[in-house]
Amino acid sequence: MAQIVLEHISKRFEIEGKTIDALADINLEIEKGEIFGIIGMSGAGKSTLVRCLNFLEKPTDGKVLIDGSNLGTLTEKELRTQRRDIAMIFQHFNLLLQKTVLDNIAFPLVIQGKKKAEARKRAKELLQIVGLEEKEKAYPSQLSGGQKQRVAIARALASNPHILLCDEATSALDPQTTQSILNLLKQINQKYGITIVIITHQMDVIREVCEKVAIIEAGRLVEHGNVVDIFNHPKSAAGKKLIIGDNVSATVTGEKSQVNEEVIVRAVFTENSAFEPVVANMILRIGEPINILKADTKNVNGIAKGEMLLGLPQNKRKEITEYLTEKGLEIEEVEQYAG
Amino acid sequence: MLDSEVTSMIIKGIGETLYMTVFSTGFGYLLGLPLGIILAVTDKDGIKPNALLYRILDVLSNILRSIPFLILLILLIPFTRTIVGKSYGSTATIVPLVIAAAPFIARMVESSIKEVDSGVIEAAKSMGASTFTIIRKVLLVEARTSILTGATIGVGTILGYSAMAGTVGGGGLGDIAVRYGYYRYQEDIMIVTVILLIVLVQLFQLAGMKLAARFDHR
Repeated sequence: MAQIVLEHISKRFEIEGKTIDALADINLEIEKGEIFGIIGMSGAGKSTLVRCLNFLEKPTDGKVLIDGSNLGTLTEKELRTQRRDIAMIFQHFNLLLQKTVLDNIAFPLVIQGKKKAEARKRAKELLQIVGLEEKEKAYPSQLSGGQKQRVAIARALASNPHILLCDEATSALDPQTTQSILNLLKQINQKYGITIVIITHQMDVIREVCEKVAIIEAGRLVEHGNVVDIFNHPKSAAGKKLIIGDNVSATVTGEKSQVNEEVIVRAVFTENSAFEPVVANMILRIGEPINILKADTKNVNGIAKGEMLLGLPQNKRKEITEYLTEKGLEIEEVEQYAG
Repeated sequence: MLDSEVTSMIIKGIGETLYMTVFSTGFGYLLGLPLGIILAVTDKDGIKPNALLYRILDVLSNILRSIPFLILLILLIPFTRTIVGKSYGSTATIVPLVIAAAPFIARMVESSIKEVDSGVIEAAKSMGASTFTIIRKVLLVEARTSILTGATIGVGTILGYSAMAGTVGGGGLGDIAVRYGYYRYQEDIMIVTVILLIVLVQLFQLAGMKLAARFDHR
């Protein structure tokens, strides 16, 4: 059985007499040791979903099973004990401003009734893991965003959790700091085997660290699976929007294309196919101009993936698609985004 | 005009004012702090909402705060007598001062606690903290500076109220100022006592702010 199982999770809020379905019939399984991403636009319900995993939000319907125990059937006291196994980090770090870094990290242990000296000893070990030994006496206000998140991660690890929930943990950080925090999470996952659930609206974060991903839109789970598969072939509209982006239409409609009756396709190629000048060869062969609307290389789980948006003449479309497929590229039409 | 008799009277007045202020503030917090915590916790956005309890305490504290202190002082005479054995003097004045100060203190404590970042509370919950642990280890710690600042304001207000203590023979600087300045037209004595009151309030304010700043790590 998977470590985290969600069965038919729904959450309704009553706000000023209006009923809002924040989550509707979500079914999901997350295996032990995975780094699982949940992505969606803001307001999609992903923050509510992650709070259902530790019952900070109680779902209106459905079951949450953590290591086989059904959170809905636990008493308040049992639930509090269970939460020690499910740590959480936040977008705005949520550190105690009036406590030192060391006491912040020792805090979950103090809550559990451990002796202060013992808790501080463990906190010092954790500071080493996150690389902030010299900051133990500092207060959160003296730290940078990245350092604060490191302290929050150390605090989350204090009670040796099995699961770490990350709620937009890198959204308030700059790209470089995001990278270092993601590396730290990856390292923690590998070293301690902690299952990590990452909530984000940034596709880059998912591509960087996650093996599996679920896409949430308007409270519904629209697509889930391996990151590589979904990156190559997003099926849902929300998935396509997140992966291919909105900027396509801007690029395309901005100027009148030189290519008559243009069809837009997205081509994805891996390292190997990147050696051959595929596009150049193709143009030589079919003798027609094509438009490169966008080109990029992205790192998906350590594999370099090239991504291109090509504007093709309508009449050569079949020929070109066949040629590119033959060369091992993944082809997909994204015409609906050109409008 | 400031002969030794007047000087010793003023010194006694300072003593009485400090006595009333310090003890009233102390007992005021003994009642007001828990009351303020309960108000903050049971409010609809609190960590343990309880509409009925909140409503009762809310109305009660508003009623007490609406009664003018002078009226409260007289209304409470029988109550004061049962508690301290007599209804006049500095000690007797502490009773109505506490009753007047507690709801005011509770409101200040409530607002200090409500300033605590809800994210920090959520983090504590996610670690498995109980309501009581959150109050003790999160709310009171994070709101400490704000509560101390509130206490500084509280001391000043209570010191002002204590000036009305003369009505029940409570003594203190305020009483001297009223008796000599207002009833006997001895303005010099009045001015001296008023200046002393100002100095006392300033000293409390300064000390309170220093203390609050020292504990603040934001």
